Amino acid sequence: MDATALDQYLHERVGDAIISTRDQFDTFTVEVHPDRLVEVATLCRDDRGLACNMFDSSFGVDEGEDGFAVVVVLYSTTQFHRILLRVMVPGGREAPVAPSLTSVYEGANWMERETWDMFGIEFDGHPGLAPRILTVENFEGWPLRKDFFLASREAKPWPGLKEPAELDEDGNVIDKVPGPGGAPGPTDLDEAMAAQARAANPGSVLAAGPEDTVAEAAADDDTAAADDDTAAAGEES
Amino acid sequence: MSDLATPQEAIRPGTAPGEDIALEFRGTADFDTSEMTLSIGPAHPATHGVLRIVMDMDGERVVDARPVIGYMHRGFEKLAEHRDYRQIMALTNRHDWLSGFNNELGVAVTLEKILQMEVPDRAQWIRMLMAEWGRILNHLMFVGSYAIELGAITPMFYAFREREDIQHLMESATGGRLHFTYNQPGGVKIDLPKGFLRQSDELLKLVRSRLPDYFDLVLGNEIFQARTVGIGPLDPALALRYGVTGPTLQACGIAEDSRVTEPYLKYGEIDVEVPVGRNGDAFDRFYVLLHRIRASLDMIEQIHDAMPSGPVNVKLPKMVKAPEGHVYGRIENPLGQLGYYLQSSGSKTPWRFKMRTPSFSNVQVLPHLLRGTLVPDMVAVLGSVFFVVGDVDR
Amino acid sequence: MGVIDKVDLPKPVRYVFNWGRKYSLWCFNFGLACCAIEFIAASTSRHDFIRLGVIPFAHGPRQADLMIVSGTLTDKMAPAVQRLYEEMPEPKYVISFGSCANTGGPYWDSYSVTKGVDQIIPVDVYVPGCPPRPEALLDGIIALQDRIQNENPRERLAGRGRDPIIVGG
Repeated sequence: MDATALDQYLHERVGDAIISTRDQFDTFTVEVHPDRLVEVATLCRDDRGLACNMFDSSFGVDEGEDGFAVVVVLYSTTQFHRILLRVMVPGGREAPVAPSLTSVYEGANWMERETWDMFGIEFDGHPGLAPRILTVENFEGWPLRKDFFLASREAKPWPGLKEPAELDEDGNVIDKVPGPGGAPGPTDLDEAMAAQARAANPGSVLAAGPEDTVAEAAADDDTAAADDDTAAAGEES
Repeated sequence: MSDLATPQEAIRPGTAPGEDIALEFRGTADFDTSEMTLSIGPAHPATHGVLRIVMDMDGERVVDARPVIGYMHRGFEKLAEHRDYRQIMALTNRHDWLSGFNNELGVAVTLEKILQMEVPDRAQWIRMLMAEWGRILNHLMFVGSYAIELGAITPMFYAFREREDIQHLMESATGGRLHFTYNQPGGVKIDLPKGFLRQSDELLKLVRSRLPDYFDLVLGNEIFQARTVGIGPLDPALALRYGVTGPTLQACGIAEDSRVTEPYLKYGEIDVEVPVGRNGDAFDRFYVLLHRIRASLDMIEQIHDAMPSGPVNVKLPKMVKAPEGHVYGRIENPLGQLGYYLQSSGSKTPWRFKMRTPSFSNVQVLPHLLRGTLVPDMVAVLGSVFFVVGDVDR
Repeated sequence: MGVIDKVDLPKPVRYVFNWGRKYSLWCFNFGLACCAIEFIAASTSRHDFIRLGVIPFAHGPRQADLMIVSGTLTDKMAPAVQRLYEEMPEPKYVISFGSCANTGGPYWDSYSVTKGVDQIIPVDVYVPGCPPRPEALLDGIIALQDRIQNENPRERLAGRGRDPIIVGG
């Protein structure tokens, strides 16, 4: 079935459980109420017209202040359509608890364990979330949350520079606490390296002048500072 | 190809043809056995990498098996949120490390879906060509490693002879032997070198001429069949509920292959053959694997005939930014279905980048296959469920 | 170890002793990730490090002289690697193969990766690359063999002379 037919089909059967549907970029997503998720998934599996016999995956998404979302991807090998079910997990960021799909599809077992390991979302009805499936058993923190910072990027931006503004009047380093998503990204390091190269080579072609903005430095591919986070990253054509 | 009739009659122990079974297996109730918990791995040659399986054993029989994963967890999904798309493509190579090209192809296909980019025809055909050679590379490795786990050491060297030739071919175009980084959103990086298609054609003939050896000497080998026929059968409905895909699923009789059911690139324009098995046991999985190599060679021949000329990429902006929204893209990795969920907030790094890997689901079904087997069969089952640990843990 | 860690062997004896050791390096097959594939490729017919005397069929760490760590070392796996290194008897050598094993490689900023195997065990040869070509591994093995030929076993066992070699550097 194509997306419009699926939309209508689902609305006829579980219309009150659906908050919204969206068909964008060839991906059909249905947002459902969290307490109706198991019912909708069971319908998708057992209904003749939907026939979603394959459990593709289930994972979490950090939606910032709104909390977390869990997305479940189901596929039908007979009808050749894919449905993404999305729920906003109740409990916000402090105590997220989502319904478990292990009673509907066995494959949800490890997927939900991984979501718990990465986000800290508890699954109600899951046979056993602990021990942590992917990280070390005694790992602290929930890695994929936006407020989990990558320590290596914080501690040592390439190659370990510290700007004068980051020292207070006694010469001690001021600890900055960046916001979510504030860890240096790929071109932040480009800029930092470009600034460092310019400072080290005054009067050369690298010194682009005081009007050189962050955006220009990021957009300019011809600076000498080459970003080499991954050894095999190719050059843009 | 040799006659592949199942040789069940020839294998019963202690009998001559026509005689009844001399031994009676009554189970372990009369014997004094003790239960123990055995941990296989993580550093173990038979586990294809750093996978650990904790088994409860009653004598030689496995009562329960629990895979422990995470020994190769490198945190890719978190790293992806701090990298731009070309860096992500370079990094995804390294997950299913036996089929690097297909991993990055998946990222490119997903990105093109959300960017709604038109990819030039020649780029699509080149990608298909590389993807199929990459598929053969992957399958040859498993041919070699499965045989060596069952005790046959020489197929490994023969499989690697083929792999070296194919890697040499792909290196001439992409520069890499294992991790290619040849894709980019909108096409491939540079065009194929002169004479590549001729070389590819010669290599195709060469690999084709060597393939019957694998069918005859490995698949048709009596000992191999005794060790794999009827071992580790997988129920298709259960497999689907676990999300098992690829050769493991096709061996159960379900012809689910993205190249046919949801054609991407130009797979809709060529004949794609999907070999299926009957019983879902270890023999069928290996059988499907070998036939997939043959099918890929046929596809490569069709690609050679259809290769158009033209540009191979589109002009990209300085920084590729995906528009807001989310997309789910899926391709057929050699090991199964590889899916990427990309949620973008409009910036140059993704907000959420989930990699749905085939090996994760394939390994999850292992306890079902391992319960009730003997220890030697455990090795046969483990090797037949094709997975790569980097793909499981990401 | 008996005599060797107390007395400097006379030159001819040392020559033969080292010659025997360098051409009979039994390697513990310790492949972790993608570099393991290039390691296997280096052991098969095209590149073949077996002709250099490195034999990849050691049955366990206790029968191995050489440990080639190829692939990313994660925090979960690190205790296992350390334990395997400690199980190897002296004299033992470690080749760190690939950039993940050298310094963490493309996963340098990950929360679960040990940035380099030298954080937990001493390394003799670093082979950079992602993945390094099998020829680079051959180069590293030959460099290691040169070092073994010229080393003083007593000093080696006492812990001196362990400056690592970097292939290509």
